[in-house]
Amino acid sequence: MKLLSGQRAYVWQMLSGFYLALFFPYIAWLSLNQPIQSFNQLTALLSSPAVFIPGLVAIALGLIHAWVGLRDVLIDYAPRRYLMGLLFSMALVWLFVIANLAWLTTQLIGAHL
Amino acid sequence: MIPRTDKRPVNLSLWHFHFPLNALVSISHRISGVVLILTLFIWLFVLNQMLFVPDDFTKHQAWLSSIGGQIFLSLFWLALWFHWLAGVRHLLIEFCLNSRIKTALRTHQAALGSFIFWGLGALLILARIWL
Repeated sequence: MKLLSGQRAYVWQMLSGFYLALFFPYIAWLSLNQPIQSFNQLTALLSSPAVFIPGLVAIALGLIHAWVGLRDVLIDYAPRRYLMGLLFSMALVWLFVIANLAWLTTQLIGAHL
Repeated sequence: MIPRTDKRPVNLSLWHFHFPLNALVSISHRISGVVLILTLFIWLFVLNQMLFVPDDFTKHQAWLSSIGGQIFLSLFWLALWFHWLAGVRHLLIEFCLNSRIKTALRTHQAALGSFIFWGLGALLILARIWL
């Protein structure tokens, strides 16, 4: 966890913030211009290189961004006696989310092939 | 949180504090971030359902068009729009090379402008979802 603490956490937060600040207008533009009517259209869009690669980077950086942000919120507002328990629970939830996203990615690639 | 040594109960009424607008932008940025994390779980649930049962795609689309789905979409896009806007302002304050722009972005007027700009965007988002 040293990778995401202290000044490194701040650097990751800013780097991911920069990327996501560019990525979300792109996604908003896509969602306005690409009406999705069927499951095949959705998988085709999500697995196209223009969405898949920047999307994977955005998911990875988004998870880091959210982890650092939520960690800061908990450190600032959670009662100290519950803090370690809450951070540990959050880490477990995050591991579950990462595993689920990895599974979804494999399913998405499988559905499109 | 700073540990307290005395045992007296503290009942702070937040309504009696008058926060500067910059503080309100900052706390709203955090609240919108927490809302986005909560909506992430609903998105994950919907995506899992879609990939588990592709034939039910129209059912999920129908849910997103229902009142519950539209409330969820409104919450997600409004939180994302605010979080993005406040985040970009924060990045510019931190990294903009022009000191005049940096100073201008820190002012009360810039914070007010952020809320007004968010409100205008929010109206467009709500019109897009509900009309």
